[in-house]
Amino acid sequence: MKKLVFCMVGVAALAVLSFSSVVAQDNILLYGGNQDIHDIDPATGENYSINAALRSLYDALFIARGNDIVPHLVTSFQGNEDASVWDMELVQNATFNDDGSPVNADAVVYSFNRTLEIGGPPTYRWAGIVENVEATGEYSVRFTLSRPFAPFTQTLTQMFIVNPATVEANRGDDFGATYLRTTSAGSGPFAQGRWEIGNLYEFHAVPDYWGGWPENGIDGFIWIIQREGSTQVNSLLAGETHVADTIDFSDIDRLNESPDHFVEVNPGFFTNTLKFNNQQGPSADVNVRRAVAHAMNYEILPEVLDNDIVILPGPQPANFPGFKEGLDIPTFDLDKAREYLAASAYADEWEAGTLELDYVYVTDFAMEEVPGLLLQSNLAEIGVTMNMVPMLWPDMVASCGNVETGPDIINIYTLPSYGDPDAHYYNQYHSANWGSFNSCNFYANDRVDELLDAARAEADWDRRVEMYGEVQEILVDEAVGAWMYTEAGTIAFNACIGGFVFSPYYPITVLFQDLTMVDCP
Amino acid sequence: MGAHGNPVDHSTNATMNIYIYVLRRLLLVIPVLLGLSLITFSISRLVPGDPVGLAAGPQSTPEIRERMAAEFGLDRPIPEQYINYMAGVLQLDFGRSLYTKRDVNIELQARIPATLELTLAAIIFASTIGIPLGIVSSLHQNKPPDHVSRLLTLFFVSFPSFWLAMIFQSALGVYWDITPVAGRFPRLALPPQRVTGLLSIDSLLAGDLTAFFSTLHHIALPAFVLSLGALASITRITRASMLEALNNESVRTERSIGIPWALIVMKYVLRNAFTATFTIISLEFGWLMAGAVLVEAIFGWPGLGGYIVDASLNNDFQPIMGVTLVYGVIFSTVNIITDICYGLIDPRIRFG
Repeated sequence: MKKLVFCMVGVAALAVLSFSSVVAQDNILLYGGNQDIHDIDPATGENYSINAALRSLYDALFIARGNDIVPHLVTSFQGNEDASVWDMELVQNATFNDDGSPVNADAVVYSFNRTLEIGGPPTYRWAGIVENVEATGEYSVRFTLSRPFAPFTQTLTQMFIVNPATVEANRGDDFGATYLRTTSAGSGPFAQGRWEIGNLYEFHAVPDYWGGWPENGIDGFIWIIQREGSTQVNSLLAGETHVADTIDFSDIDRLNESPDHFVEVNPGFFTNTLKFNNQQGPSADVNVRRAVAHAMNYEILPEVLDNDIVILPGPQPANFPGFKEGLDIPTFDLDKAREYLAASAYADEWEAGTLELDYVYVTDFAMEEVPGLLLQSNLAEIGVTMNMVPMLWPDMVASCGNVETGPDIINIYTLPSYGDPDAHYYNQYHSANWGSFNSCNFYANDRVDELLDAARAEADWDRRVEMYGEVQEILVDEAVGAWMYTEAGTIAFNACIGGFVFSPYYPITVLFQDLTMVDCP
Repeated sequence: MGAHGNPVDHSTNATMNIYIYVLRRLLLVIPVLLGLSLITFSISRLVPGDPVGLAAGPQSTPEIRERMAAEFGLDRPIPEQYINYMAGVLQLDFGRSLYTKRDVNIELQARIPATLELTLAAIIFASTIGIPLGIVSSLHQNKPPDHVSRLLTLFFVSFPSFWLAMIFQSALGVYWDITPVAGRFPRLALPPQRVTGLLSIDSLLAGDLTAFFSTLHHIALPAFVLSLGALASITRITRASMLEALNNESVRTERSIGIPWALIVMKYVLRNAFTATFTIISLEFGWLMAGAVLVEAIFGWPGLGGYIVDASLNNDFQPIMGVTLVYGVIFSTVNIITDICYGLIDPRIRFG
């Protein structure tokens, strides 16, 4: 019996030892991602994990590197005077990974038309704006817009070019969407490896990638789905992964204490706002909105949230293009709040102690619940009842569907998808965009609509800055919302990883092609 | 003798009875699943929320949202949606996820084996530890082994599995580096060729002992953590049933005629007590599958747990329906198997 046990232990030990020799491979980066990559079709998929995959498997016309959005497949570009016609020259050495065919103007035209035809989530950038795309040469392409659109090139970071031949061969009845959902047809720095749904996704570096590789660049990476923050941190500390995203603020010290790890904490454009319903209920009254805005104690937020946040100096982050200095933003001042309530159409209700407001936030999400409790307490001090209304996220989205169901106050995060004020203001404050959670203010102001439309069409940057400045002044004056803070993006690394450059447009998305690995475990 | 003078074949009759019994139970599963589908469908459609708006993205235009709703048939009246859905289910087509756009069938095929393997491993842990612990506890009633056993089971029942999972993960995975922190298989290694989807079985079928031991290495901790609640229940039920059987007069008789104590316990007492234990094991199997959601999340286990959580958070109807129906089928199957096993364990039980 003892011999049998001995033999079994021996076999097990040998198996484990032999296994460890099997797993030793090249510079393969193991990434603990908080989210699945459920769709890699550039025409339909878009979120931070999908973007990480798309930026690895495909090339876009422009790319966000650090704070800048720079040409990628494009070598030069030129817009006409009113920014309605754009001519672009393409690089001539980019090839698709699956068949080696060139990434040329026809492929760009095909990709654009396919995206517009399918009409998926990324399309909002171009729908109704791009009228025509044509090849003016083998590597020259012209975009004709239905109206002037100055930030056009900024949107092209999400226009990934697909191989027309591959898509046509797998076109089906949905323009190849079923095929591209799980299979790449790109020219990016990585090609697909194992694709285990709900578990992990493997990417192999393309050795002769046209864009080149940094010294000590990675040979590939595996995106491992880890939904739990504690699992991400423990895997990183145990050496099972090299990078983990969306690290909780409470874990940062623990990771920084480790000599083998570091955490990148960068203030981005991920903006938290209390959106007031400007059309219905007490919050439709500008003085009630002003009162509520003055009842929030902004300065104490970093302390009560115990998080790395930057208080907003106005409707947008100060480091986002187009910021207007010197805005008269509301500060915590309960006396002023009382004055505004007394001047409001709801003064009688307020004096009778019957003025009530609902505050909607994501159930059990402390970053939204705690500011609500703070505001509730402050409002109670001045005789306003605020009801905390927790909701699941889909319910919150639904509540923003129309004015009638829009809450008095709702806590919403927004992230501009390109580096232009248009990305921040148009979808939130233009009256044509009601119906989305971004526009849960239900704001309607003819002057603001006019300015936002005009700024889109204006090619001169200084003139545009003036327009966006006026928009900000109006938004603050009308207390359309209470602009709270921006939250930092947190990504943790093993010290053997280098090459990461934070981009505020992709605050938690790594550009894998720029990463390096030296002596990793 | 039979009516025509032929001997009655009791074993053939018994086999026929089992077949008829199984057939009847299988037929009963149909209304159960129909009811389950109707309830789940109604709840998923009645709860507030805008899954189309969520799936279409924050900046989607009304046109994009309308197009998506039409694509997924969500612009049709709800009764029509249900009929269309069930027509698909009858052809084993669980539809397409609104959020991931992937076929639910593909997702289920990818994930069910992982959850099933984890649950099976957990129930094996719970049974192989829980039954002996219950026996020892009952044989030493109110003595130190009994106290220790009861204290342990109280501990396991009282602490939430996700908390224990995090503690064990940190201790064994990070500080002592004994078990992997997360995952089902080493990420840099290729898993064995898929036959059943259960990695332990597939690695044995492939004759790959290395992969087999690696699979055991990965499943050990999550299965152990998942098993703890069931282990406690099995221990307590085994103990209680054993005590009841031990106090039976037949045991005193068997002892008085000199049958060895070990034989009495293993052959007579345990067999009598095991029906209740077996019931709790089959019930626990269902609970463990459902309870695996949290343990799967913490150990990065690619099973149904993460899928159903994502689907619920996004009001994604089809995956919710698909997973619910799959759970319904598994529960029903386990119940039928349990009932059949009763007859094998306890000859007094007859099918009819």
